Amino acid sequence: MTRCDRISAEGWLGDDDDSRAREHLEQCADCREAREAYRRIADGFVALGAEHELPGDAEARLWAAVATQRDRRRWRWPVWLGIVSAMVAAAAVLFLLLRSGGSERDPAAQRVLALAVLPPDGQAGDDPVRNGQPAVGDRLRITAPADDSADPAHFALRVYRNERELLVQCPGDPACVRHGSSLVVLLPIDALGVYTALWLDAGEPIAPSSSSLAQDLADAVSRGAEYQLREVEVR
Amino acid sequence: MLQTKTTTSNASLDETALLALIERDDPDKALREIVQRYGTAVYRYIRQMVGSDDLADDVWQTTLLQVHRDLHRFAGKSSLRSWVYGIARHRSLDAIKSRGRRRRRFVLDQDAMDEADDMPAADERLSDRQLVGALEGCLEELDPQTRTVLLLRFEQGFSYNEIATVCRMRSDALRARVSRAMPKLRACIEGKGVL
Repeated sequence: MTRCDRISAEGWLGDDDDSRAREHLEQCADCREAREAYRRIADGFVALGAEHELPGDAEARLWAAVATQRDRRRWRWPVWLGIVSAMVAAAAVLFLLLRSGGSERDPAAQRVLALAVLPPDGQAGDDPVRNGQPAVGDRLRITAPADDSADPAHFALRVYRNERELLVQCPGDPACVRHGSSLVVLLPIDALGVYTALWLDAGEPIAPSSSSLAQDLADAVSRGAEYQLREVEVR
Repeated sequence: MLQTKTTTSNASLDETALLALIERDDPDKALREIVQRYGTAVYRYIRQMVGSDDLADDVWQTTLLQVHRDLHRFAGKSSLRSWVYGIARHRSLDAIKSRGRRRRRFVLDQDAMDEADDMPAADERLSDRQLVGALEGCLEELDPQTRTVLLLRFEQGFSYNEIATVCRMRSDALRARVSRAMPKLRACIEGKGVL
């Protein structure tokens, strides 16, 4: 490293104080040239940053990822707690079934968005929920809460495939059927992909869908909407 | 339980108010402020670190997700900005490592590079864009640790003390690293016929 190389865009980087640096620079053309080169490099760094812009949809995708992360974390229980919870839940279900004569509890009554995979139409015995990997030909059953008293413009149920294809939008789509205080969508799985159900509930009318899950979710979040997400991957 | 969100405020909060949000355990609102304040700058830093748009996008998402997840762990020992950049630095280095040793050459401005190959006369001033193209290519040739220090210092305008917090190194060691790197950078850029 030469003496002049010790001059950076900021002046001396060695032990020399500024006055000695100045004195040397006045006498040394090479060092003046070096200092000018480093100044231009430093300017280049500033211009470098401006070359790249954050993608326009990056923030929307971030919020979708935050929602998914939160959703997964909410359901990620310790194994032992899961076993205990499952046993308690099984006992509770058995108790309720015995008391109610076998009627199924409506998930919408608990204001929970529920997503289940059903076998193809005609193969379902007593409408059993499929266990194991869902496949093309199966059906999705999505149940969402929908208060009778609520303004229909203030809640929405949307189903997307691969985050960018809007398959169903309720209310409004004929696939949405109202059962008491719940909204039910029965949707055939006709292609591989990730199917995501998004339920929104807001204090104001919900904006029309952009057909992008990330964008719709970001928009709803910015307006203070409550939301729930459920997804299933068909592969 | 339903997710309840609050509406966003257009006004940017100062760091004290932002810290208050974190202490109040309002990570969504805090993240919104962080994205508004540092989002673009962090993206540009990551972009220069990893060298591709797609990877930068992934690393930016991962970084901000981790910020959101770990906000409650932020102890206030450094500035919030330094903490966020520290996460961005780690995630960028992870991405570089997982990309392996396949060194992807920058082809940012082929015209600029073609002209650089022509070796213009010494007194010919090349455009800033050509300088940027050459600088970007030369930065890629430096090791990631040195690259991060230079980017934080000259692109992001961090002080050496702030970089010391982000990189967990002593500031005099950082100065020495910069003083060693700058002549290499200069030689590389001059080798491309720029400067």
